[in-house]
Amino acid sequence: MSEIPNTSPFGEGSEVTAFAILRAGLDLNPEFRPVIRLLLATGVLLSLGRIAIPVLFQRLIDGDLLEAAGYSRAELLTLAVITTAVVIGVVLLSVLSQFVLIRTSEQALARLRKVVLRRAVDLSLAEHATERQGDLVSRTTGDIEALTRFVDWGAYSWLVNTTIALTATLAMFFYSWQLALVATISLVLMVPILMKLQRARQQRVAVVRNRTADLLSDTNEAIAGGEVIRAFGQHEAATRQLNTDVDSLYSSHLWANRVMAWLFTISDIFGTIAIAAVVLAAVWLGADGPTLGATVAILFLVQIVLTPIAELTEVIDDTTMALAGWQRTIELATRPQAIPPAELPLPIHDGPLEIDVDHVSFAYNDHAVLHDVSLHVPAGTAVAVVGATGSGKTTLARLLCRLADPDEGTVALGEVDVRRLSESDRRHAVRMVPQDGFLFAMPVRENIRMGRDDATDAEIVTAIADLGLTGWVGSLPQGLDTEIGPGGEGLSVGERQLVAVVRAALADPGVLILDEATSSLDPATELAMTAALDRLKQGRTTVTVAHRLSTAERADLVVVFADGHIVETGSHDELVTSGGEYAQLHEAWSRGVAI
Amino acid sequence: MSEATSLDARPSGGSPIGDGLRLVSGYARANWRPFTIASVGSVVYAAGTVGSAFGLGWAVDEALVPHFEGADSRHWAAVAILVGIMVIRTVGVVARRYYAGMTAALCRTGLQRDLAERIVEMPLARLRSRAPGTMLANIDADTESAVDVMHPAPFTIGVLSMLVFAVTGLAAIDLPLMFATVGVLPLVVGASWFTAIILEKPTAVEREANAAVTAATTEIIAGTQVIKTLGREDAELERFAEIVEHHRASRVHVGALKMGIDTSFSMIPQLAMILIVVVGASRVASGILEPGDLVQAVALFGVLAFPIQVIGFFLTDLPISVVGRRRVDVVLVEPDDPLRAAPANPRKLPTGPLAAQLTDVRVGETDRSRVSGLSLPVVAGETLALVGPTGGGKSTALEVLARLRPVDAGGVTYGDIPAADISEADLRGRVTVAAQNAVLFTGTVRSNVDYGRNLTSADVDRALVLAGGADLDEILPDGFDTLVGERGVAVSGGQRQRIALARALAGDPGLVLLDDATSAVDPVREEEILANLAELPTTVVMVTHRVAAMAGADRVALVVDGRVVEVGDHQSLLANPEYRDLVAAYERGAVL
Repeated sequence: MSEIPNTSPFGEGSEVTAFAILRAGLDLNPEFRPVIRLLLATGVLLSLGRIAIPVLFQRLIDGDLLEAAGYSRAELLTLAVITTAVVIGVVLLSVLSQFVLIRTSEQALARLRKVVLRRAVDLSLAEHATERQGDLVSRTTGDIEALTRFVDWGAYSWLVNTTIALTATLAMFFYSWQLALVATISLVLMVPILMKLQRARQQRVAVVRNRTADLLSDTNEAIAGGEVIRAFGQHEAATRQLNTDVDSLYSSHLWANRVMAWLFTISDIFGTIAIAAVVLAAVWLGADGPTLGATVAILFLVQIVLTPIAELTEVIDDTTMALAGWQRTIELATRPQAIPPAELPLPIHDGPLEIDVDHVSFAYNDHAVLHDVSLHVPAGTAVAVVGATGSGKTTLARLLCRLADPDEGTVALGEVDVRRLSESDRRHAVRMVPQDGFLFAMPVRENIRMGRDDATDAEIVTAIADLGLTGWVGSLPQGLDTEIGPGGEGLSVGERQLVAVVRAALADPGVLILDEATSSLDPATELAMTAALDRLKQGRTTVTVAHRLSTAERADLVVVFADGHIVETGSHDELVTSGGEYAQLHEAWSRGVAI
Repeated sequence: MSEATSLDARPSGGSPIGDGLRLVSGYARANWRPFTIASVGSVVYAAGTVGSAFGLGWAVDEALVPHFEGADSRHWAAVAILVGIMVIRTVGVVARRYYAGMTAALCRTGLQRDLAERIVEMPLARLRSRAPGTMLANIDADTESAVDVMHPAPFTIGVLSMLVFAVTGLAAIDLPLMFATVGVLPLVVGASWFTAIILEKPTAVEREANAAVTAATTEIIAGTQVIKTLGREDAELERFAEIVEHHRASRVHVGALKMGIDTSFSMIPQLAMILIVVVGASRVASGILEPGDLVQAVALFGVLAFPIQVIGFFLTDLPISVVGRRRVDVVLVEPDDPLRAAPANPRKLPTGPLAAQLTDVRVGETDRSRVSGLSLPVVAGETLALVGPTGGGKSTALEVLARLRPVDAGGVTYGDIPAADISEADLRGRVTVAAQNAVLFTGTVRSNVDYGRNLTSADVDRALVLAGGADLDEILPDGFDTLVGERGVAVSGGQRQRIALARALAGDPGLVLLDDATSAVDPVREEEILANLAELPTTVVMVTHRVAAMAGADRVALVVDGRVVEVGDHQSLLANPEYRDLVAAYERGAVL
């Protein structure tokens, strides 16, 4: 079920029982414990309220109040008033207990949301690879959502309905154990049938889910490929494909519906069987049996047992989904912290820092990316790291800013192992300008200020001027006050990276890590970027994951990666003349430019 | 399938309940057969439910009471009656559930088919203006909630008839007993209605808060790397905590309201039963009624209590379905693409390389793609490169040539034939497009190149070779028959672009339009592709950022601020300082 390998609190491989999940969940969220007690209390209260009426009947009949001789208006009214008081009192108490219940469980859920997101953010960046982000988002939203629905409905239903059914059954036994036994056995007979239908339902609902996924994926293609469909005049074929999906979804719905139509009828059928059995048993028992009042009370109690059973069949699906969601949530929340803070932090000096990568190996989930990589970069050097996609250059950049720790070997900045740096020192020592400068939905100015929280407006303006970006900022619709849409909407990829460059300038790190944009930027942005980076690189050690020929040409040192190894290091000129990998790469590059 | 009139077509401002009832009647009329069966099933169920209460009363009077009084007990008859009624009720329930589900599914299918057609048929500009995620929600969750109300709708009819049966039944037992009961029933229905109205606003607030939580989660996870490099974890999680707190408060509000109302109303039937017992007991004692009659009356009320709640569910579902339907309708009112209109006097495009001409073209209400007075002659058989700064109108000009974008003024001709006189099928067979963002469809490499045109496999393979994709046959696991995954995710960006380029080159097109279509292909292979294009007996117009492509083109058109500033070969254009700057910038930014 889980795509993310980890140290699960449930151990490996084995099927996890509902109770194991419940126990682990309660350990994680002890606030849920009183919730269970409250649910039980509410269940008992509500069942008392429901059995009030059958009890009233039994008293009326067996007290001979229904005979002309035994009728007493006063006694009747007393009984009615007592029953009314019980019903109202029970409702008031259960309103109170449910209110506390809602507050407590919502507090617990809110805390769980926060804990889980914190954990998700703390995960090593290996888990944040793009293809896993969907999984993470679904764990932090969808799974908790399923759990929330369950707490709203399912959990309440389970505990309260089970309690009501049990209380009503006990009440039956109180009146007559023989009749109660007959009724209970008749009702228990439906359990295997219910289970079978439930399994069939789950299978069919799964088919519905798959067909929905097919429809969504084809719709997604029709939207993303809207231009292609129109450009090639393939409207009919596209519509036909979607209609096929819609129709097969429809038939899966009907197929699932066939089971559901029966599923909720079963308790009704067996309820009647139980009542008929009770009537027959009462007649056969004769004088040894219960009184007429008790028999009538039992008939009503059978109906009271039925309602919760019918409701339970409706929440089984929600329960399965909630438990699966809860399990995934717990697994995520109990994951050990990926980047433990330094226990005895060491100090680090200001200014440009030297970099030492010593026999480093690193794997993303068993997929080795770096093999025994060593690299020494003197302070103040401009390094360009080149190599094919997946050769390990971006991973090295990430290890340098401790977005992950190496599996073997050490990464040191200014002769201090990055694992021994305090968080604030590390952030001051090394800064990364990522390829796509992710922006938050707030003005450009505030996005820049994230580089250093206490930067004043004047400092921001100065930093922009120092990088030669005043003109670019002026070209934005509202300058620094330009609002940015969610995810950086409104700015191009290059412009987003410019914001990230200003952020880095504010932080003034000793080591700057740059992940160059892989796609071409428009010429104006490209020019602004080149100039700004040249200024930003002054007086620091820089490591650039390079995609541009010009960057490699101007670097002091070029490091060539292939398949997780460093295959060449040296200056641009040295490497071009040596005729190795870099020389070949360079030739291809140049041909694209040369006229 | 659009029998159910769209809500937007009606004067709005009705109450959510009124709009909802109109919606339900529209759905019911569109699929009247299953809806009628479901409703009849519902009425049968109602009759059976009322009947079972009578059966219970009969069993007490004719089997139990005689038995305890030592008289002859008719217990077998009682069992037969109980079981018989149960069978009737079961038939009703199953028919109701199955056909109500069918009604809802049919209504939803109709909406989904209409939506699918709109997504495919609406003009490209309209499609681009819509968020993909929202359209996916439209076809999934929104259509589901739009028809949700059709699940309880037939049941509601059944419940209403059940009330009539019950009241008639009670009247048959005893009139005073009936009046004691009837007084309570409107209270139960009114209570449900009241719940629906009171919960509407807080529920909307809660939904919004919930959406905010999801949005914040997605943003934080998508931005984790940046958040970490900036050391903003605590600040972001604090922001998230505030959003969660707001969400929590809204949930407690809704939860408490709903629970308070539900629980309080749940005692109404019980109190009513007590009332019936008090009224009834005196009448039994005075010999007017049998004990069994009283049992019947109370049992009736017991079985009514849950179904009556259904009216409440129905009323709560109404506004939800109205909202869902409104979201769907926003897409359903999208117009057809006027570019696809059939010409009055169609003229056939010539064979061979195709010439084209844009004359004084004006396009674009949106500021990003404004083009005015753009004139561009494309000579048959040439390779023409469009270059210029971002936002200058290169891609817009290409889209006009591809007839993907309507022009507001000016003329477009292909081989001297006005665009309006060329049929869609003719044009699409002769003019093809490949863009930087190469979208493939689920299927194999070959099926993507063929793309519904029934080309020979030799033609397909030849196009792949021309597009520099010959090596894909060896690299990809199943060669040209490799599945490319949804939108082509299973192959790399450069491979995707080459397959999309092959799609455009296949089928002997007369005019091929390329919008930066080889940006992710490496320089060596790009050279090879450009050489292939030069050999092809077809006209090529390409937007490009690569200097090599500009130099290799027959002509280059410099597009700035929505106009063609200069056309000529690369060498002669280098005299233009604007062009020279552009070339210098492209060289600097040359990307591996």
